[in-house]
Amino acid sequence: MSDRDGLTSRYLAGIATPAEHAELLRELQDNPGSLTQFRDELRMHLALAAYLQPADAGVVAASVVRVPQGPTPSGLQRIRGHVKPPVRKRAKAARLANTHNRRPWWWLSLTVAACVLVGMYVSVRPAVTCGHIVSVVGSIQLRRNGEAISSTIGTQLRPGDRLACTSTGTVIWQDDAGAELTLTDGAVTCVAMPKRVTTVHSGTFHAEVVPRAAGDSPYAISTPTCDVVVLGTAFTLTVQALQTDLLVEHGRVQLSRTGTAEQTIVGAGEHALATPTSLTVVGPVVHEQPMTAFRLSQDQEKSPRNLAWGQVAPTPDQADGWCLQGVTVEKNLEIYLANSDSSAELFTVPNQGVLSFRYFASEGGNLLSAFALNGTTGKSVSVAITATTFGRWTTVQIPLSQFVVEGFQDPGFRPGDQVKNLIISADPPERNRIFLIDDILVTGLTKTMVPSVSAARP
Amino acid sequence: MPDLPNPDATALDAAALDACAKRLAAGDASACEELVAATLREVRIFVAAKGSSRDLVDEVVQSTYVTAMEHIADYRGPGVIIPWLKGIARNELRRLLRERAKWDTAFGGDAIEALVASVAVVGLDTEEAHWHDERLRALAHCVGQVAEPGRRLLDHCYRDGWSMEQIAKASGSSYEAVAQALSRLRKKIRACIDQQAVRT
Repeated sequence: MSDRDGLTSRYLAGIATPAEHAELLRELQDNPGSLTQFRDELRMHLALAAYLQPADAGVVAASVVRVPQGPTPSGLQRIRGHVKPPVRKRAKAARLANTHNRRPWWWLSLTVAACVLVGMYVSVRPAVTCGHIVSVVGSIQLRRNGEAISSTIGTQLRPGDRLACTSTGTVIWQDDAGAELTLTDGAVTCVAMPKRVTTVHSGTFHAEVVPRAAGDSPYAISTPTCDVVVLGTAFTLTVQALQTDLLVEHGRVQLSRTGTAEQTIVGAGEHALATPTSLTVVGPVVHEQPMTAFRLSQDQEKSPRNLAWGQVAPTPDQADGWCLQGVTVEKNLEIYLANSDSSAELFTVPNQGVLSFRYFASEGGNLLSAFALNGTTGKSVSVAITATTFGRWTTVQIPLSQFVVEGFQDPGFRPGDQVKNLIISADPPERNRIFLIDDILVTGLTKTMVPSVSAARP
Repeated sequence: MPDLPNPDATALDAAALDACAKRLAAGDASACEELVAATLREVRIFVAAKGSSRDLVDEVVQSTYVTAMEHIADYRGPGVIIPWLKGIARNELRRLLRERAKWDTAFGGDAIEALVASVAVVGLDTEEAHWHDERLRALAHCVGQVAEPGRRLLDHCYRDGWSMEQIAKASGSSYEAVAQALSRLRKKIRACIDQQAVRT
């Protein structure tokens, strides 16, 4: 039996050690042939389990269901209520095996009494909460005492809850002191007030912490490599196992390296890096000033609308900006850029100008289009691409020379043309998918135009 | 040994199943039990052949019957109740495999299962032929060919749900030996199924 066979058999038998598990995972990731063979063996393992498992290893307990008349919604709901989760025979066997070793009869009475007392205590005792969920996008999971529970807007968070989201998920929660915390691509545990200590294991964490009242504990965040204490500020942490990136938007943050006395103060606009061996403040970060989208409209409605439909949200993977976020429902995401003085041009086409922006899609295959009105020729011009990547931020760069007159193949722009407006449009193929656009830029301009009206921050 | 639903008697069985579905749609809940008892094993094997873990198979089968019960009035026969259930199961599989592919170690999940799920969801439709009815019939035949003590081992592991500790204790072997024996048995059965499939 080869090493891989041995690892597979131990994994399927449930006796693989963590090291063996990791070794098998590496083998399967690196070798497609191994993965195919593993799947064949897994298939056989599952098919045997399905075939040999007794037919009464419960899926549905239907004999007690009584539906008085037709399949009304309530009747069906009752059927659903009687569908039982599968009970593993193993547990049943273990219970049967214990029957020879019965406890005395009074043990049951004592247990029931104890349960009643505990139940009364739990029902009377006010539940300690430390915040609630205010927004959910994509897949997130809330675990309480090791079990997944419903996580919707308004769900109260309790000390010790573990909140996690996938790479495409975002969750915003507010603690009881008003701090708003955004979590993307990572995991967080919130711990009891008034200590206000949050542990971030990984991922991107954005916090807007309100100034504390006298006597309140400062807000503290712990990561694998550092501890952060804040008094009232906005900042973003990007946490990895061996590195934590901190970017402070405003306010001041005290940063100390885990397990050491080394600490520093990070000010507004500064960027700090904490590793197990060092703590470095990189200094103020200079960002290229993006042209800011200021109106968001639905393409079916030609008149631009304000941001009520979409919402502005922090970028999942970058601390230095905001993006327009739209969870597409039935209509397209469309970002409209123009000069606030509608009679003036947005920009003049340079010799080698490039339109660039970043997008984040939860699914692939989105159609991305850019439309513009060439004020010099009076013609509408456009360019379209298919956004194939998903699950990560991707930068798109489109030379302005690729724009064509709509309906023709003639070049859409010539150097010196005045552009009146620019529309970035995304057409996700499915409903309820996340599509984000950020950092819209036109490079190569001799004069940078920044619209005077900018997107409102939340 | 449990038997698969007899494919040679599908006309009669299908009519009986249709009658069950009709009774269920009319509100006769006792038909639910009959329908599940008659179709469970086939649906379960169908799901198992495309799944990524035993938990997932259980979850998909569970969701399939919940969905089927909720939409039983939409069933349009005749004689296609099992394909109809498999269609629901495929949709549930797709949904749950996608979830499993994403919910890996960050959520205390199994990274190997996440990897398998990500591959399985891609091949969900294209690998349809891998476990067709012939192979299911062959599975019943080949399991029946396994002699003692292999058969006892299979029963303990898959039918009785014994833990490795229980099996090792009962057989006087080490975990390692039991795991290897099970692996050899699975290979043997798979080879037997392939041989049967070639013959037919």
